[in-house]
Amino acid sequence: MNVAPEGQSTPQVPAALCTDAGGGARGLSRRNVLSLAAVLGGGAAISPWLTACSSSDGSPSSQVAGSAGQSGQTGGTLTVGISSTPDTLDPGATGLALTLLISMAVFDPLVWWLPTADGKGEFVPGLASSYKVSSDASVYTFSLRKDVVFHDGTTFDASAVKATYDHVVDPATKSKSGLGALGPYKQTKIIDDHTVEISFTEPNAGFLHQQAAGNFGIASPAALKKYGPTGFGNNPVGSGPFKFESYATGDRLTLVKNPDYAWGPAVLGTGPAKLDSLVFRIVADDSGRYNALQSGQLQIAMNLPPNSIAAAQKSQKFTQTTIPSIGTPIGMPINVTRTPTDDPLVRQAIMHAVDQEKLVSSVQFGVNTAAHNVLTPITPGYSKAAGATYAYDPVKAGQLLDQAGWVMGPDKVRTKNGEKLALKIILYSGAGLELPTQFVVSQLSAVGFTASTTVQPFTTAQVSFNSGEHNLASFGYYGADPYLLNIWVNSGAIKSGFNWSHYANPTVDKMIAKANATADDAARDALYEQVGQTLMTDAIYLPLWDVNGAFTMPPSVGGLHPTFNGYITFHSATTGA
Amino acid sequence: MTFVLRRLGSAVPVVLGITLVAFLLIHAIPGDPATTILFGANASTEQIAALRTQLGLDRPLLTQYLDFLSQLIHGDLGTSYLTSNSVAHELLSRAPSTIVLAVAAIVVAVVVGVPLGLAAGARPGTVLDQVARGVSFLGVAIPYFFLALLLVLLLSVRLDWLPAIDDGTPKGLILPAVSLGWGYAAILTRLVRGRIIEEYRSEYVRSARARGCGEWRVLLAHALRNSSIPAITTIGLQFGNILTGAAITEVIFGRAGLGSFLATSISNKNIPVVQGAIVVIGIGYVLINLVVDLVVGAVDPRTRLAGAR
Repeated sequence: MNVAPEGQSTPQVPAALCTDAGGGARGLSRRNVLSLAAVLGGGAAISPWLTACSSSDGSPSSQVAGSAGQSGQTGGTLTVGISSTPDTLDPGATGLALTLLISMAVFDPLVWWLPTADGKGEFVPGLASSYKVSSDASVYTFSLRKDVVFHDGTTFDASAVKATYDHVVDPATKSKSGLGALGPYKQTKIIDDHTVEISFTEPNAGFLHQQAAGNFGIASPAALKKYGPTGFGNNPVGSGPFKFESYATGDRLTLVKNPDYAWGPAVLGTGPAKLDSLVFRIVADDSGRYNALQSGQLQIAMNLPPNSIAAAQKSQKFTQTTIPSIGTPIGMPINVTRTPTDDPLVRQAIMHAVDQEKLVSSVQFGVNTAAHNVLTPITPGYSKAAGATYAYDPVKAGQLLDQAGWVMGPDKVRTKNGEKLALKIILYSGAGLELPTQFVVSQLSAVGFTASTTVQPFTTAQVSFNSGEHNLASFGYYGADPYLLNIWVNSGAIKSGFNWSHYANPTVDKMIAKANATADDAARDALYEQVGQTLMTDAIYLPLWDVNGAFTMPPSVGGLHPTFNGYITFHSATTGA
Repeated sequence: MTFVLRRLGSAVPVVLGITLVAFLLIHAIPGDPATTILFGANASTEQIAALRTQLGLDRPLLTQYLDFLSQLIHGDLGTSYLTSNSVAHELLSRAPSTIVLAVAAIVVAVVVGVPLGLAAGARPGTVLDQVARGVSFLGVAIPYFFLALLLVLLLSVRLDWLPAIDDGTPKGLILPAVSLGWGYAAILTRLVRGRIIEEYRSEYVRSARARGCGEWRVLLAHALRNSSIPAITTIGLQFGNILTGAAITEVIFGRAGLGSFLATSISNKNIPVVQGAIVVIGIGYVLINLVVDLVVGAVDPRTRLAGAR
């Protein structure tokens, strides 16, 4: 526990201050001195004066907990309201991005990838002090720290890295995103106790981003063995700033501070966590989270709907932290095989007809950021030029439709050969697209479209999308590396998979494969920028807004740091309450 | 005793029927669980196909159903697609929350509904009766989820008296129980009121009065006892509705219960969980009806004789 006025005190510093206090220093309040006692933890260095003081009215620990809470800087419990139930607490097995918010508090990756002030990212040493990448991006060699201990007391070394990666590819683990993110994994080889080599059967340049994104937090090999490949998901043991304490299924997850934590990246705060405990409370209902935030049951409410965020800001009782996310923004895949969107001119007209800025400001109260590209700006390989392909221009949209032979009728709907310019829109429920889609439809009808919108549960919608019953669908994808484009534009992912634009372009397939085989960052980004430009020119996706991680909290909550997956870290979080 | 055994025996085909209907319905929903699970997971098409095989979804439907039944006979409800935990574990960890909520809602319904109905029925046309009728009218007319939101806004957000979401304490149970139970209280009020008015017109009440019984004794020992049979039966029948209502109430108050879990599992097409939950709820329903029959039998000997014949 750190003492507020002294900042990052080490045990030696309070010991020295103790002597001062005994000698009559007046700078220390009683409260601070009590906190110091906790730092010393009943060790040999406690002076008789402190002992007497601590024991005068109860046990030292309970007093300190109370005083630390009042100090507003250290200790206390932070309760975060999240919207869905984690599928597992094993980052290697999970299929939910939300689990990564939790796992980044419990686990450390080999190398962190963190946002810098200028919005770019940098690699920061985690459990590996340095790393090397082979020229073809297929072999990664990591030199490991020697001072790291897991929550269960197991010492971290090369065997832990091997155990973690082998665990992800073990079929018994039933890994979801980890397995997908790992790609063509070959093996993890222990070179010596503190050097490990991870290799792939083919080049995999996205790996460094992927290993930092949360799925590959290094697990205690002893715990993996003890609990087994699926049992680990109920008993996660890592080396991060918080230890797993308990999980009431579907209700709440309680983490407690790891007092030994000393290997976190300086950007996120040095030393152990300031909170005593961190609780994730599952409240699926959007208004339930907002109500609980207002009544003080939650200190942070995650992903409130835009109207609640706007109300919270207006009340001036809460601050809003919005974290740009990485991957493909929320938007609508445009089916290139179904009439009328099989005509590129019609697709381009759609792109020109929609004003994303207006959508964000009028429907979403300015909470989100307008999107104009297939990748969000912080995603590597984002092409700024591609984002400028289509300005909002309804006149241009009309001209394109004229050019395509669609003639405006008296009912403000265009027709061609007796057919109406009709779009079939299918959305999957729960993604928050219902209301924004009404706005999109109103803008499309201004240039002569007519549209019908159906909302289906995800499982049903996915079948409609694969069979191509839609003109416009709904989409949005989190991914730490632009290789995620392969998930939704690859021509092999149309009948089964997520290519809901039904876009089949062998050149793009090859370009993406080539990019992922290019180790050099600049060359790889250039290839992805080229892919992005092609996709935008072909108008296969109508981007709407960037998927921002939204956190609403009282101003007293502090010390949060953004991550690249739209989340926050709690390494140096404080409740301030 | 034979009555209980016979009732339990007749539950077996009912539960079997439930499993078949549940199985057919969940498979009738279009959609592939493997694709749903792996959306957002950076999964290749091959990985999706591999998961489908792993989950056994490529087997013929009949094989899937028979495998499910044979598992069920061995007391195994299968493994959740999402969590890789056993369905039994997933359901058991959530069942207490739902049972507590359902019982609390019924307690609210009985504690509010029966006295209100008695008072209104004993003195029809009075101010008290008007109030009771108004309350029960509103209770039936206002949907419980809307009532829940109103109560939270007033009592939690504005006045800060009660927690807005479940906090594990009895205090946190008040709002969900009241909002879920209120509608049933309204139904009970109307039912009890109507019965009491009717019983008051019957001959045995007149003769009881003629014998010099006090008004309270007439009301509680005679009229209420005879009115309680339809009331108990109604409570039993409403139990299924309460479970449905619990699903939405659980979502609003952030309670980790069976209802909300079943709802999300259906939309995720988490087949083992849906089947398991339906079997468990089905058995629960059968048991509740058995208990209701036994209670009615205890209250009214006529039904016991009818059952034995």
